[in-house]
Amino acid sequence: MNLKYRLHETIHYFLRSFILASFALFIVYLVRTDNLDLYIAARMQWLVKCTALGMYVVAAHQLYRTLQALSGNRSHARDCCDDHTHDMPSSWRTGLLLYGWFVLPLALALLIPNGLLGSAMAAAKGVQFQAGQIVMPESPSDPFLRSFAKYGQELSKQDPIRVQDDRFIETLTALDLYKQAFIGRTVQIQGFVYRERGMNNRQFSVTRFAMSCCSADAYPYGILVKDDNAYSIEENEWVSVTGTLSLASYNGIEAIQLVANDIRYIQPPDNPYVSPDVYFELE
Amino acid sequence: MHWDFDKLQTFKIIFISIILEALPFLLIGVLVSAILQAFVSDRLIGKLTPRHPITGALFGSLLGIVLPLCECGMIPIVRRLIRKGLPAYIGLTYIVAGPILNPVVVSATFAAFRTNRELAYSRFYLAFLVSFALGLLLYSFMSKNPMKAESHHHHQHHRNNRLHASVGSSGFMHKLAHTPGHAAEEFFDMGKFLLFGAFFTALLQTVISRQAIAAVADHDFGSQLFMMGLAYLLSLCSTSDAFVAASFNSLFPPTALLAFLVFGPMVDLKSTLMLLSVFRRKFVLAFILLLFALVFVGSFLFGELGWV
Repeated sequence: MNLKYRLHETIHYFLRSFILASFALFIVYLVRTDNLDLYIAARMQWLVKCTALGMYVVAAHQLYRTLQALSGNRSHARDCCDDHTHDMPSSWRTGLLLYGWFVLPLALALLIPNGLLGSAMAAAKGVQFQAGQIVMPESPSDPFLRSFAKYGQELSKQDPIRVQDDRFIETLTALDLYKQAFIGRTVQIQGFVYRERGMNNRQFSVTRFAMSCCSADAYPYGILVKDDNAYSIEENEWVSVTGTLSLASYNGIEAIQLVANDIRYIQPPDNPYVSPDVYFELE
Repeated sequence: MHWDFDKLQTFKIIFISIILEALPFLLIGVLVSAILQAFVSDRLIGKLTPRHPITGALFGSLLGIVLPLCECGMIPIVRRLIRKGLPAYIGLTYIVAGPILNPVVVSATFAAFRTNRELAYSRFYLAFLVSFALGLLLYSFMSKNPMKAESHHHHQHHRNNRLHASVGSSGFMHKLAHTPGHAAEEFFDMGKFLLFGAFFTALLQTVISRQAIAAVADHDFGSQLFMMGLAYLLSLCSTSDAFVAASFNSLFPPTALLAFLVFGPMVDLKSTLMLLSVFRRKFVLAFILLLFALVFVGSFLFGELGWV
């Protein structure tokens, strides 16, 4: 076997091993720094962690092949299939292009500092200000609607009514469905500041992305906030707003709106996303 | 359109997020494919394959119930199965039906549409009808092998493998030791298309706004067309798209949501790129157009008949 071919093979196996191991290390890094939450919903994370393990195994195997190729020992590989390199890029340029695609996400992850989805994405997706719409009830006796009614009663016992992260969507839904009953009540909510055309300079919205698997399926839910100093509040900043629930006509819909009593800047929570609570009706 | 730092960051988050979510399924796909390659003989595949086109189309439509995977994992497996002698029409029917007609997606869909069970049921009925029809159509009209020509090397590889499967020279441990090697090959082979797909999906999600597409699709069938286009571009996983569809409840009629829920998992931007790695370009184009027509007409009829 000629030397050039041996070198070609060694480099390819090494690059493959290196890329696989880098992906695995990247996942480990995200887990260690608590940043996996930024990309993947909690219920999917175990699968991603298992993947890191699987990729290590395959990376180790490719490293073993690298060493084999380097030492020119091909007897083992020949044993199985006549040519293991058939999928390898034949020229340097195609090789560079192929591995470039795999290095790109890792390079982006390293070069661009960690950030959160914010106003730019919310504007592209369109914020849902009427959370009650996701229920689309057919009759008032619908069991799912009944569980919202029950949850609404529970909420109305609180003062102020806190919109918790683990029930963010369900709480907004209940507030929207039974808005007439909640008018005048004090509500507290956390999220990022989002503005769009159609809001006046005394309005903004407190918004959160709901994610069920990964951030590609993240959709923004928000509540309007009215405050005399709204214009001075920075977009994309995280705030905690306490206000009195009222109704506002916005873009042709009747939406719930908080008239702010207190607005304060906060640190974004460890997990900026909220998830639909799939066990909601089962209680 | 201006491109600022916020958009770049949004792009990065979505790009990496899609990759991280798809990697487990790609890895499962290439590992299963490598195991099939090593341990399942072509003869066994031949024996298990239904002979009659009706049972074949049924088999492809319902295979997802026992092999619940999404397209990132399915395409490598189907490619392997077709190379091992599974008729292509059955494999393609499975690619289309598998991401919807499987237990994981059934439970996610019912969780998202708890007050509107008709829509959830319609999703599965329509998905079944479309994939069954597609199976029969492919069986009748697909004249030649839809796969890309195998390279010379692949032929050799294939023959060689068949040879030593019959000789039985390699033991269990020996075959097992080679599984990661095959898996790695296929990982890079399919992975580049996944990355390509994730890249464009993330780019489109960052750049195109909902209003922009809504303005384009503004006539009678607009909402249906719009939602199908959106499903194609968003390339969501079928386990999470029901929650997204639910957030559109107020904006679109049920027929449009149904079209979104059936078309998206069957084919989208990400899977188109993966299909192109396996099948001929012309075939993929015809395949997508056929699916589009079937889902469009199907969801329209479901609406007219009052089933959604």
